[in-house]
Amino acid sequence: MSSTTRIWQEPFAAEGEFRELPPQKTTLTLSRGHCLRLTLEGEFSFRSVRLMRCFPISDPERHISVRCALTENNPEIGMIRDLRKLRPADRRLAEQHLTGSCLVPSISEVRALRRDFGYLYWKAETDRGEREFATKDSQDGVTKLPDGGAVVTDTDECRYRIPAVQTMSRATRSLLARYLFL
Amino acid sequence: MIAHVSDSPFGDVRERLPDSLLKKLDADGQAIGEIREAAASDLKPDGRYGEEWLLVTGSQLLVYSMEEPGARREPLPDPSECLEPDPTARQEREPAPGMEDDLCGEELDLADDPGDGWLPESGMAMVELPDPDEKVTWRLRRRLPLSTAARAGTNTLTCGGELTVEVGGLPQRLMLFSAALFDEFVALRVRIAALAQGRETELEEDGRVRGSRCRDCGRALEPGTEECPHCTGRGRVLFRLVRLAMPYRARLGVILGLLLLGVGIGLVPPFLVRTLIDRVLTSGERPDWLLPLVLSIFVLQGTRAVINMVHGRLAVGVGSRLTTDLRRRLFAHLTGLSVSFFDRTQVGRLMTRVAQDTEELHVFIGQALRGFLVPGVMAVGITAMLFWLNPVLAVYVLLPIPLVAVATYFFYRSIAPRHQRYYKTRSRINAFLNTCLSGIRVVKAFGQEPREQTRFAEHNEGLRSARMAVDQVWAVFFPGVLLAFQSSVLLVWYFGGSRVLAGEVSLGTMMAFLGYLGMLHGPVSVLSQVGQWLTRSLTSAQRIFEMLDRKPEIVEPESPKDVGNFRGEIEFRNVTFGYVPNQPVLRDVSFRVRPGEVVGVVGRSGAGKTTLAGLTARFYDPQKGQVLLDGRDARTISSADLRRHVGLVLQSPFIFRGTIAENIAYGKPGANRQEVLRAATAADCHEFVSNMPLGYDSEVGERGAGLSGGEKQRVSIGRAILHDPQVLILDEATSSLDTEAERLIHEALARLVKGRTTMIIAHRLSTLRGCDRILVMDRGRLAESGTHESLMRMPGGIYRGLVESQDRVPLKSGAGTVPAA
Repeated sequence: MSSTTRIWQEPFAAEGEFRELPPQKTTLTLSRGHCLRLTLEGEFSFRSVRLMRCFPISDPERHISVRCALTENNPEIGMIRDLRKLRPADRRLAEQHLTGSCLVPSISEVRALRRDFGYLYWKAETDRGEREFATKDSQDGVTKLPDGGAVVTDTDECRYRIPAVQTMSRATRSLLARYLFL
Repeated sequence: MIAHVSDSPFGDVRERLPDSLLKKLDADGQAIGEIREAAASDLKPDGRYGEEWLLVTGSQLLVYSMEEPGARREPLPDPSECLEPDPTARQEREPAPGMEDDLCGEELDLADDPGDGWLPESGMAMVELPDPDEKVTWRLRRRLPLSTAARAGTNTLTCGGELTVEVGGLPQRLMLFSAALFDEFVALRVRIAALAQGRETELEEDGRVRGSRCRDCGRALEPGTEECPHCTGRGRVLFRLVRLAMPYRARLGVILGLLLLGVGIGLVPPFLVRTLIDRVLTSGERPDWLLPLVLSIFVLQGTRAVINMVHGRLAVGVGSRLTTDLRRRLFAHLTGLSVSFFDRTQVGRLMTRVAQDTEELHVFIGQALRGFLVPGVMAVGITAMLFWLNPVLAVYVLLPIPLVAVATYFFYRSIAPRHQRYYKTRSRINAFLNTCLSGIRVVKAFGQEPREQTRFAEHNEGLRSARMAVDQVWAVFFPGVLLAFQSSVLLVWYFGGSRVLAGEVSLGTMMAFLGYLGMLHGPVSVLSQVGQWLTRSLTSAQRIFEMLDRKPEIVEPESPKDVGNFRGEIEFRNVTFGYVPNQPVLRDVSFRVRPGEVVGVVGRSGAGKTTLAGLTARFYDPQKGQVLLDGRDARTISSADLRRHVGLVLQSPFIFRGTIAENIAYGKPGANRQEVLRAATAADCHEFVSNMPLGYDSEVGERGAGLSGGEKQRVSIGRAILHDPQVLILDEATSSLDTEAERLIHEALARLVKGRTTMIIAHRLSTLRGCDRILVMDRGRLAESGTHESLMRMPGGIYRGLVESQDRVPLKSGAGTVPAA
């Protein structure tokens, strides 16, 4: 066992402590049963962790909170500042894990959109497959984003990302302009 | 969707499972009769949409995943890419929680188990090839012993969740699901855990399941309702609207009669004009008819004007009364609903229902008569007159009308969303102004004026653009419609004129044609909008009826028991309660408070302290167990009695708009001024109130603007003193105050609690030192109970730990701590 100087005395970030995990010392593996294991070289090894995006809509590639999945209340171990700085294999595992824990699909095409009794009924193609859902016909469920896109929330509180409308097809733009004023 | 085999409200599992899956189960040799639970998810493990079924037998958990031929499959992780744990990582002798060595747990026999299509020993990925003859195939993705579900869990993810089971001591994800299925999977977790533990459990049937859907059409329902607006049908909503108007049927009958009379009268003048031209002006046949005809036309038009005035006034009167009645009914109904309804519903939305949707119905009454019935009758009448005058000419003249009607329909279809956009943009700018100007101190404190000005400019520009979009369409529409009608007129001139020249039609007839054509324009335009206003009105009506149809969750007892001489004893007997069923906030809580006893309730955030207060005041009913007041179940006591004897002082006192005296006397409207003064004195607010320029007649704004936090709290204590309840609940009544204000309020509270049964909920434990007894809540359970001294003597006790942590104040990190002053 090599002797390395430890940075942290405790495995979990203390109250008020902002801890960033060094990307080159961070290794992710899949352990038996597909638990995501995190090893911090020279520090600690955690058998099962959960990753959570701190900004799932506005900055999904950065600021990922890493939490211990086995301890009560899932205390935070630290933060991965930028997924792109991880080694390719670690990044792939992290993204796979996050895809399965941040369930906000991105709409690529709106196939149908109609209004009925105060609701909007959608049929959309997303990056996770085709989806039909309903939203309230009000601006409360629409959050506009700085890039010209938006996030809509359906009646089940699922959220759907709409990319910048200029990137979408004419038919989709027309529907979004008509019903969502985007 | 959840299918319970044994007591399924959804029928046999066979009926719930897709046929293709049943075939697969048959092929796999899985007996359908062994399946005890079946649930479907809408997400695959990689987060893509897709159907998966969890089947629970007496010994196994099976997860079947739907595969469509040609569907893209996420590659399974390549085992060679999974690195071994870093051998250089320090292994603590006493590892931190979560880092213990592998527990023995239950070893799975993976020899026959495809798992997730991955055998870790060989590192080979297994892929099942789809049957080319099947459109849909199913793959057994996971098979686990039922025992792994004994500690099944659900975790909330972003816009969804995961169902986990425990394998080898580690929680493992079994299935993913979207937020739409969250409540169902929470219930499923309870169910399968019970099955794995060999016990039965009841699932709570609850109409408050989030994201509930109509069972017939699958469309979304408003939370807490069972009425689907789509399946209800517009006809039914219309019928209910008509029924609302029934009390006014006599007046409506008069209005209708007048309107039809007006239509009839309106059809006569062009006919008289024809006579005037043919028999008086052109032929000179009856010159003596000139004055009578002109006078007749004047009288008819004058009569029509009077009729319009009369029915206009009557219609406005009926519309206003109906709207007023409806608002009164709606408000009364809303105030009768339970607290849990208001927990879930935004106040703004309720305000819209009461204020705006009812106003929309006011318009409906007028539109129904003037916007639909009358134009319809008029259009029919005019058409009949035209055909009566000259059928051939009528056909030519009426040709453009359908085109105008269609164009008008599409116009209003196009302008409606523009109007909506304009109204919503206007709402947004109002909301922005409200927020920015209300928080102007914060804006200035952080020097963000330029930023807010930029944001306002964006909103302003949006409003301009929305307004332009509306006005531009109007600017195009009217000239267009005018042109269409003018073409009709030209057709009359041409075809009519040629027939006049040929002697087939008189000039008077042609002029009558022109007169009737002019009268047709209005009704055609109005009728083209019927769909729009009907939809708008029915939507508003549906929203109102949906509120009126809600039933309060706290039901008044049919034969309430008389409280009599209320002593103030409170008992919780095996109470389990959750705001969302199957997610209990209180678990099997039992305690008794004697009359006159002062009891403190402590615990960490989320322990269930405020929930105790809500249950005592009967804002909610427990799902299990009983809340007893003087030995009587609270559900058998009338709300009026209960409210008279149970008083509440909340952390955030709510001060209504009105005078200070009105606020103090809120719980006892008939209180005289002496009583108000006594209560204010006891609450230590007399001093500051009497020093105000208008004293007790001082108007305080919404939410008590003009009073400090401590002053508001003392006014609310005065309100409670005047109310004079036997049971008093103080829910963190001093937590938001400074030390001096808290001291004053403690003195007032001491006077308030004398002789009353009191439950004090507090974070600051120093406020509870004088309590007769302290209840310590921990994660929904009553963990400890006793006096302050007895609880402090408990080694490792929760209360003792809370007191010690509150009594010590850290100097700085790592420098040790010192006792609080």
